[in-house]
Amino acid sequence: MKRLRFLLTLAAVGGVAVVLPLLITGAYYQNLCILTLLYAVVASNWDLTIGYTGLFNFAHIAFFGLGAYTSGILTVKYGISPWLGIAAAIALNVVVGAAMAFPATRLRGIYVALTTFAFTELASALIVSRTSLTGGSAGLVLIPSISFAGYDFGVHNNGYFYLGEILLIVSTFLLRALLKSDFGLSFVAIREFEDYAASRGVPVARQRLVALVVSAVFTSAAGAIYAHYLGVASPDIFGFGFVTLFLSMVILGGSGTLYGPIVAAVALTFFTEWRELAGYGDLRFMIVSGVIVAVLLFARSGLWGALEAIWRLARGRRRTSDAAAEAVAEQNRVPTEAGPAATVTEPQAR
Amino acid sequence: MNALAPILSAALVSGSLYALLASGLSFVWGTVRIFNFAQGALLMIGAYVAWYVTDPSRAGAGLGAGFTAALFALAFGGAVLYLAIVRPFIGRANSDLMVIMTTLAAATFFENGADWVAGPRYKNLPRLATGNIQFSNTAVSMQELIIIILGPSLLLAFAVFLKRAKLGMAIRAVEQNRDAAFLVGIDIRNIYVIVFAVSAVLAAVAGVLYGGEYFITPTMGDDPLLKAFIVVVFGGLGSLPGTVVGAYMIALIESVSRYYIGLYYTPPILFGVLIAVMLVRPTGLLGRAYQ
Amino acid sequence: MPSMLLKVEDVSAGYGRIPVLNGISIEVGRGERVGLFGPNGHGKTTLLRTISGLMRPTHGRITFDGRDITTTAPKDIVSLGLIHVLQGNTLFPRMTVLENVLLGAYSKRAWDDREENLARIYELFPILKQRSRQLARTLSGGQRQMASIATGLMGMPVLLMLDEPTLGLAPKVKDELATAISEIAETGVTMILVDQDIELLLSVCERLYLVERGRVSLETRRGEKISQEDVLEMYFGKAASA
Repeated sequence: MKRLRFLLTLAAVGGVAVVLPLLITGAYYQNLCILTLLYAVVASNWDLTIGYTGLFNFAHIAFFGLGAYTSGILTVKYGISPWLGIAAAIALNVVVGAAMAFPATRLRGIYVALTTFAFTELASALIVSRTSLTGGSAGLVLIPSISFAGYDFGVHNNGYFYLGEILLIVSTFLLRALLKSDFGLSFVAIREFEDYAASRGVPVARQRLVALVVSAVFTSAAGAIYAHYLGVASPDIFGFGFVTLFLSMVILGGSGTLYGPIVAAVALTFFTEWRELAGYGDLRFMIVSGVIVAVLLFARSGLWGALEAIWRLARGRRRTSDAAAEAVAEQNRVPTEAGPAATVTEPQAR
Repeated sequence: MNALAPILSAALVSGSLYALLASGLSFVWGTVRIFNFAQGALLMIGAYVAWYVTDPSRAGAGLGAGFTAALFALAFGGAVLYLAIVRPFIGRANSDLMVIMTTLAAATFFENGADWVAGPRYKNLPRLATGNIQFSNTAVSMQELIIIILGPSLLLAFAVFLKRAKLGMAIRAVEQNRDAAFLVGIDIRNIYVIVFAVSAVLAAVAGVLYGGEYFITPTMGDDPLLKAFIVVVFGGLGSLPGTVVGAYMIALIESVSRYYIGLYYTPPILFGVLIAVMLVRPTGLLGRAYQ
Repeated sequence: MPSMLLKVEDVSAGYGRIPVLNGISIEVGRGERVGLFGPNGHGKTTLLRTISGLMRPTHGRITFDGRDITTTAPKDIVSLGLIHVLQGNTLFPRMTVLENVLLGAYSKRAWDDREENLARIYELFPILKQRSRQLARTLSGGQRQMASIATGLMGMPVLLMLDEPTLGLAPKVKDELATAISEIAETGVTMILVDQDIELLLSVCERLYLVERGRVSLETRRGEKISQEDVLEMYFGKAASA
């Protein structure tokens, strides 16, 4: 029964994927869709490290940016085929992702965030400094578009549309398989009860490595495709603008839900790119920032959690909770201002 | 030898500014245990508030009033910011990660807000004093001289406050042993608010000084934040002396690097140094592991 | 004036989903010295932490001097004169002994009298006067405990709770500390003393509670004379005292 449901879902998704680019033909809306697909890949993969492993990997945006620049530089300066460029982008970022595992497994919480942040800034600064190679702060231009079987995506944007869809479907499929596996279940164990999980033999270091590398693969592919699609790559790609955008997709969608960030990607890409609101660029970002804080405060499970709750209500299931007692007991577990011992957040060797 | 004076004077100016901003970051980290990514945005707000009060095209009340306004605005604003986006999360799991996200969101909010309200055109604050002084083969402006002196002086006064005043002792106590601080009757909630407000004021001072020396733009806080970030991690999160020493060291490295290697290659060098330090000694040069 | 200074009624508390206190009840009268003993991890420290406000109970009530302090914040509890000296790590490591002790008088109630109280502390623990300008972390184990207790005393306690003051100390140092605690007890301060050292408890306290699995499993009556054998028997069963 489960297998049938799965196959049906797959068929439905596949059907939609084939049909959608044929329905949406206007260049403007096609553009929105392509961006949405690519952003959705980035966001859902970031959920793997932030939401599922509890790792604040600031270098995630570097995967995207380095993916774009790698493929861009190789195709512009060395004339290789964009497909090889994408492959190279993935290869490079797999190495980077693995390298990030080093601090991620040795340091705790905030130090991981800071180290990966430093790395992203380093990558950004390096790229800006090598002007001859990367175009410096002005960016890299004239990146060729992808072509397949004689079909130039630059001319027929449908190509990018389908490519984006394929990437998102493959990424989601693989991520889902990973998370459902035994290996994947241990992610949550580490996130919630790190010390306990470690003492029970869950290989914390290995989990983090896997999460980082896997998230690097698809994100860098998305970055590379992005570069070819736009035809340019600029250092902005490493900037706070993108970071905030992707982060908001993860949070608004619901961290730790995988599908949530995808849904949020649709909503937020349209919200921030929609030309009707063009004059309100600043305001849009202010609203997005406000939404991030609001969701974190009141609705941790984001859009996806809300959808699930509606689904549960519709099926008549009620949630029981000894809310008051649990809440108080929970307060004792983690530090509050009026509560027990301070969190120990010091860098420790594992 | 003739490179020494310009390198040194540049380093002293930058070091002073970095020390002010980084101290705020480090101070909050040491006590409240969170990293405030909005610190750069606070600097920017300080500059803008001062500008709005000072500039003849707006309130025109003069620099003194502008400076004071910035200080008060940010003391208040810092407290509000803490209550809105930090305190609600302190009781929760993964609170430090969540606060990274909320402070990032706040920074975006402020930068876009500033762009919206004030527009992207560069602005300037008047200098605190005019004229130059000749040191060896380089000219140091009075403004720069003031920065060189004001930064460390303020921080020194701050250090004395922490050491001597009852409130200062309470702040140090909270940083060193939270539980014990509770049990001697210290109001931790108040302390946190105060720490945040003070750190915002430090950012405001840095903002006013920056605004007189460089341009005021909505994103002017980004680069200082990066530098402050490098400084605190390098010098030791939570250690005020370490942060100040780190600030001048980083400023010196930057100054030397700019002079000999060039503007563009300097940031990668700084970050490279930083990452090396982080991997070898994550608590920073003078930092310490926490109890 | 209520007869019982402190009443803990049917209190449950825990960390997250793990309950530690299971409906525990104790009472302490004015001027009494009450001892808590029992196996490690069974809730003695948690009880003190719940009383002093560091933790909130999920169930039950705590009354101090007629006031309900179940959900009161630690700083307000301190200003009522209920002082808790933590087990182990209780000092501010990078502050001097003098600063540490002065901080004990932080509350409004105790701050004005701090000079006077400081003099008395120095009489009780002369070594602290000697080392007043040293950083707390440079003190030896015994000196730290003295400093901790001194800090607690500076708060002018009506009820003083000491959590394992002699833990990990050499016998000679333990004796010194025990003498000091007795002297403090003589001044009429109401005390709750938690310790592993039964002899200490017996010499200082008038009543004992045996705390096991988050509740009181045994209580000695006031005036009841018990010996160390009796206590060991309670603790470990008949075989131990044999």
